[in-house]
Amino acid sequence: MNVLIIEDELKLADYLAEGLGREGLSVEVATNGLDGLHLAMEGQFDVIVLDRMLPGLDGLSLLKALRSRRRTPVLMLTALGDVDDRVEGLRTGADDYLVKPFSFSELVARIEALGRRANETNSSDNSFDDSRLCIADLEMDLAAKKVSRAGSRLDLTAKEFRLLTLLLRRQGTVLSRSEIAERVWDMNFDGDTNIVEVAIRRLRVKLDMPFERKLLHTVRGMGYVLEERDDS
Amino acid sequence: MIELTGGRSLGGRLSARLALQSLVGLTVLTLLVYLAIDSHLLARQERSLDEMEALVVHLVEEASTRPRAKGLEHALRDQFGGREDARLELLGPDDLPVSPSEHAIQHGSDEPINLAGEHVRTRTFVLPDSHGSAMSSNARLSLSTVADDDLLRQLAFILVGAVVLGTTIVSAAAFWRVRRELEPLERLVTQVNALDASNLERRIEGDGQPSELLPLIERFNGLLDRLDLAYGQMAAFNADVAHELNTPLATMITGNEIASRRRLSEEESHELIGSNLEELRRLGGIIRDMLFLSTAERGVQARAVYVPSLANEVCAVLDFHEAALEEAQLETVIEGDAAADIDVPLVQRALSNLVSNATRHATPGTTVIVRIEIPEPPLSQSARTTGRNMICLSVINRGPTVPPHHLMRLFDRFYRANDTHSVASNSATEVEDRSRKPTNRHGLGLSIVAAVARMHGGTTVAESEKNDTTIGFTLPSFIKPIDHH
Repeated sequence: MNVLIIEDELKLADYLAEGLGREGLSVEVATNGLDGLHLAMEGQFDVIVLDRMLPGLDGLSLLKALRSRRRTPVLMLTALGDVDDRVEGLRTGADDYLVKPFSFSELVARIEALGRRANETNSSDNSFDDSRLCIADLEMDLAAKKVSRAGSRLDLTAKEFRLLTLLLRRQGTVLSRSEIAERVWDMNFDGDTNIVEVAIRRLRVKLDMPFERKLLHTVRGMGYVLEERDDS
Repeated sequence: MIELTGGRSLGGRLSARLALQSLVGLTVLTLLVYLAIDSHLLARQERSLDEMEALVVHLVEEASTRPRAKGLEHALRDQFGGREDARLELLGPDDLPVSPSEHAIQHGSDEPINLAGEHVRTRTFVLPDSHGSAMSSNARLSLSTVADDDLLRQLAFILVGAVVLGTTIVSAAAFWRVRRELEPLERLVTQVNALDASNLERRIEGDGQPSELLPLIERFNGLLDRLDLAYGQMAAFNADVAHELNTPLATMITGNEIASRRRLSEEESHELIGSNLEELRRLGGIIRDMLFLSTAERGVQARAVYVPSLANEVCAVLDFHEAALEEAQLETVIEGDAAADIDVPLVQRALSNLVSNATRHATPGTTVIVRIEIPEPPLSQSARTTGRNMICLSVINRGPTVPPHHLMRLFDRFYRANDTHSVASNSATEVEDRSRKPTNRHGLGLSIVAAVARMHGGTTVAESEKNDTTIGFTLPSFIKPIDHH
């Protein structure tokens, strides 16, 4: 997937380029609005990450100019978190909006979602929506809503089941607390997501406590990941 | 600073007005006096002429009954000869005086009264024809008004003088009086001038001020009270913000400095980065919440949408808190329901903060109640004026009673009732526990509730008695679409 980053903050642009590169995306960077618009018009990108405040040509004007000719998905970055700003950005034609400071994993998730949405026609990614999910000795039957580990049935509440489903589907990926709150409980507010911690802890008691091998890991300062690790 | 223009001195204006008023008043008064005296003198002159005419007629008639012409002339001369101010002329048929030497009956002075002058009133009248001779049928009486006119002229001089003098005295007195009366105002200005941010605790003294100014002084002092309070809060708030931001910064700086002194293993550097990220997230969280609060403070209103059942939203939030509530051994109950126009994520956030707060303070094994009620009668003044009912959304927990002085400040930013600035740490069995902070991370939780209430046009509610603590906020109830237009 080709991604264009238009961001004037050099340090952030470099980090983004490096991070997205490691995620297997091919990245180009423009550090001002005019270069950015030129690249966006001429190049072939699957997703454009656009900073709202840019020297030369600001993000909104760039977006307007771009939308007159192309439909490339745009993810807008901004330090302004007002609802009004968000609405204005989306109205101008941005496909998604992320407020600084954001977590990198969330940025990756959103870029991938935008890329997927654009390519939905030519991909049959539905194999991923299998009725069975598993990792190591953990098995989940989505249809029967049953989870078992090493053959013994785990007794989960409805929300715990949804939480584990999310973790299983995105296994290996670090999920931030806010993303988990949004996906599992449909809580879309900024703010106190520490509550997720408790839910994870309770899930962990059922999922990992009785077993030698731990599957649900905390990544400090980032979130949680379900994966098989050799150590521990 | 706004430059004020156009204001003329109150004292100067008052003095000028008073001077002008006394001038006009005195002028009118003296004019009346002058006119009254003038008309009185005129009437007196007329009366005098009337009397003389009657006398002449009487003498002529008397002479005709005892016909002695010489006698008449003599009698007339007796009456008028001695008068300096009057003269009688007998006129011939052509209205010309009949030989002045014979008939001009006047005082025998050398200087005859100037008949052609201005200061003379004359009257011509027909003599009774009965004395037989046709030598004169008309008579002319002249009355000198010199004395009266002199009197009037003098009076005019005196009156003009009085007006000028009176006006001067009244103006000077008014000027002095106004100056005296405005002195308290000047004192007030001096006192207000002495006020600035460093001495906001000072108040304006009302002693010796006129009663008209007292309400102004009271209001002004009230304003100062509020300003003082707000200023104090702001200063404390800035200190709190600095403290809250400094704490994670200090942790990070220390951690990084110590780490940089030696080579780190891969695991250690991961640990350090993780710890940094945690602190940075905390900083980000504080800043985000502060921005949110400032947005609310700027008066930004919520984007309300119609929600048919608030209880459903409450249910979703309780679902989110399920694990935490269970861990705190708390049951939950939702009481009541209502339709409302709300900004769902904002209300969810406020409610989530309230539930977190209740979870933290409730006694284990008790029940947390989320109550949705429409109070009767309407709570607030605005509800009564707009005719719009308010819904009260509150969370009630059993736990230690919150003293009133804490209750008052509960919605203040960075306020913690127990003032536990320390990070709560339980067991260190799990990674999260080491980084565990109070769920109300930085004492902004309830101020966010207040902000959400304000953005919806509602207010906050806090009560605590007999181990029941109710904290909540009001929201406008749903208005039927018909009422919208």
